[in-house]
Amino acid sequence: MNPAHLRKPQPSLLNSFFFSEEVPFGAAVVRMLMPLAAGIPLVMRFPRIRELYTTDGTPTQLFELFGQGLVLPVLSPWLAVPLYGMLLLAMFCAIIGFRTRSSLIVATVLYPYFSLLDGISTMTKYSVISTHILLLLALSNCGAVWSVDAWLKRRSGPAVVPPVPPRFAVWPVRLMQLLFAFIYFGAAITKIQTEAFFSGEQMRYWMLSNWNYENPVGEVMAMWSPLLLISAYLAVVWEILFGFLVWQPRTRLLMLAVGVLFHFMTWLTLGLYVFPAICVSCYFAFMMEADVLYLRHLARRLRLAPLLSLPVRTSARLLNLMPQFVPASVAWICLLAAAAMGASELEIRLDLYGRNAAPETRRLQPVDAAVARTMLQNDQRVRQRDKFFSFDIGTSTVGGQLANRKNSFTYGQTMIAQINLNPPHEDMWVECVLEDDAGRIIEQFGQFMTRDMLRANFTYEFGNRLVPGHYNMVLKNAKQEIYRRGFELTGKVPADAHASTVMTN
Amino acid sequence: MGSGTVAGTAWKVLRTTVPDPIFHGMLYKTAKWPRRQETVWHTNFFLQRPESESIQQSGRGREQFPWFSQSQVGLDRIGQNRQILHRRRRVLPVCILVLVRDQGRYEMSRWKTVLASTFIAAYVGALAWGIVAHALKVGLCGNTLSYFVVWDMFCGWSAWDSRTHILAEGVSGQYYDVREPWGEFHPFGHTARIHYDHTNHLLPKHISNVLKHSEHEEIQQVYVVEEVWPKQYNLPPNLYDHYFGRANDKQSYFHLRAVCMDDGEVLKSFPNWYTQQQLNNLYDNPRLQRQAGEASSLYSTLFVPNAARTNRGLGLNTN
Repeated sequence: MNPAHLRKPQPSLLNSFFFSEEVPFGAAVVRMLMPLAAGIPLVMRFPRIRELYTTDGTPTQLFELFGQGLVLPVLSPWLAVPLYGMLLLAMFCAIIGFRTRSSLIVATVLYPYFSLLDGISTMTKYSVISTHILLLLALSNCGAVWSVDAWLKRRSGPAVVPPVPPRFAVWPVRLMQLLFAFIYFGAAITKIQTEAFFSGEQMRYWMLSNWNYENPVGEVMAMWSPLLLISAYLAVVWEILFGFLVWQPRTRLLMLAVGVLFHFMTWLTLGLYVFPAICVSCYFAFMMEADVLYLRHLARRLRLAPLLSLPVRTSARLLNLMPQFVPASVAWICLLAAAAMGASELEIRLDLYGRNAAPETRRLQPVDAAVARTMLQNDQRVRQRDKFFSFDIGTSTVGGQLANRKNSFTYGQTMIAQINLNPPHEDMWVECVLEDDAGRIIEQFGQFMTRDMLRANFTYEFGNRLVPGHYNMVLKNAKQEIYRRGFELTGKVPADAHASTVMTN
Repeated sequence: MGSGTVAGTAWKVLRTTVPDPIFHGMLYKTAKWPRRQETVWHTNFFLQRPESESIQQSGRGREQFPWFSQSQVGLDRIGQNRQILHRRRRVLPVCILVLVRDQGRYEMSRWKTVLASTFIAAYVGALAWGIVAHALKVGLCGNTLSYFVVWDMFCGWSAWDSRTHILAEGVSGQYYDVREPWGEFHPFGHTARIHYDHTNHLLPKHISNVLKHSEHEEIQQVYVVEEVWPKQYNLPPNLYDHYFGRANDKQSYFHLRAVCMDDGEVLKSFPNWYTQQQLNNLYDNPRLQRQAGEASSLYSTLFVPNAARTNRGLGLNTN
């Protein structure tokens, strides 16, 4: 070993940021969790390999969506299916840390390949993040600890185990951390540029969508506009600050905790499953040596060590069953071959298109001619009521959105009747009519709503024209009643109050 | 520590041979974690103590670690080393041997550092370019790789939900639902894959694939119909009634998107429902209609200056 060929770390800040050496505990945890989170959708897509990724199906490359045509070669099922099986095995080997770097290299090549092949339903932003992380894990030494590789190395190495676990430059982990700083900063820019994000409409409509998994909480929260507004501002502030505060010792945990909460809420309100799982699993890239020490100390103090060591002991027993004379690389290659053959066999047996099934099972279902003609007539006009999202009455607004829905008012209060529209809509004249419980019109007022407007307010100040009782505020458009909101006016009629006034917006 | 003693000499050797990060890292951890016996580095996170105990109990300690005294075998080894370094100031040969051995192993060589630095610069540069390109909207159009560095999640929205229906008309006049007989693929939740095809790139392949792998009469034409409805109707009935004060009377609107052949080739295509509504709203203006009617129907004239300059023909654009 020639010391002249070795480079001593420079004392500069940047150098120590990227090239200080630590035990790659954080990268090891990311290696175990991230491929697991990203691998579950891969497993679920396994029965559809032929349809999604082969010449016998309908792969639609992301390059096509960007107008660049067919850039990647689309393979026949005889090649694509074994490769997919190898990808699954590589992900599994990465999780357990068996031939870690080789497995991660295989996964880094195959994962984006299959994702890019199906730009419609496989390639998403979580695929992109996973690709980044797989690449960085492949460049890191994440398999040096907490892995089968480390165990094999100890078993086949000298009797003396090094007292200090292997330490490596932290730059791959730093790049993972930087990746998330960039992701959140870019997401903040997106939100700033997105129309109606800060007024709540964007999040509301996403929560009402069914493009992701089930989100029953989102459906409830969608109507809490003030909460959406506050959440929107908090999210953007956090996303911008993340890159600046996550490396500060005092604010690191706060930033990460808010991040976990943020992703938890995306699961709860938007029905995202895989994206939060991948992001949160990658947060372990921020776990440094000192954190591991602290956790270890905590586990000992709480006497959890025996319990937590159970899986370690179990896996150690299992690993001890492995024969020593088989080289790991040979075993790994054999496993890859077995995975490729097994995947091919399984895929053939699944018989996606039912080629071996009875012809009746492959028959197209007829559609009733009347239904078909209805779908094809193409001259349906949109109902007026479908141009309106909601009509609510209350007394206060937050960020332009009605903050409280009320059905009881007293004298002296100002009623705000808010209309929310579903774009696109034409320029419209909308009317608000105040009726008593017998249907007699008391007040009538209206305003234009141009095609760019998402909402409008009618403000009605209760003067002394009304007597206590039940009333209705009715929204009308094109001579049709769209919404009706009943309310009760209570209290004593003020003798010296000024007359009721109507204001729009 | 006297320089003449064995320990002092060893300390000097250690100080000159151990790389600074490791040395300072050990100092740091020692200072931060006074309970040295518990702050043990080991690849096996929870098994350090049992393994040490097993070494002690098995009596293999003296054989494997002959430089340890019997009382030291049961202790954590790195803790032992730290005690040697910072408390007792007794440097044992094992400590020096191990750290000297690890010095070359865990420190990056120059070429590795250069490669790593290059990669870091390229990677951070790509991420930064993604941010700038996304913020300024430059360099993204037609650039697939920008998808890997641009973070535009949930960048748009619509007040209307949509689904795609494909109807095939047989030569007998019977209509068929062009849907996978082997079952739709739902990539996320309960929505089939074809509905995520907002750009219609998948559509021709989907039609061709389904018709190829299904039993049916000869197909004359295939119609692609878009179904849309306001998203508020996605609420369950009880919530809908609670928020809107009326029954959920959802009505879907159908809009013809394309007419295709049985191999998926598009014969006619139309704007999607959303764009069509915007166009209708815009065109619902007598002044605009009058101006459009009075406007020239062609963008270019018949005269092409470049052709006239080079004397190739009269410069008339016949294309």
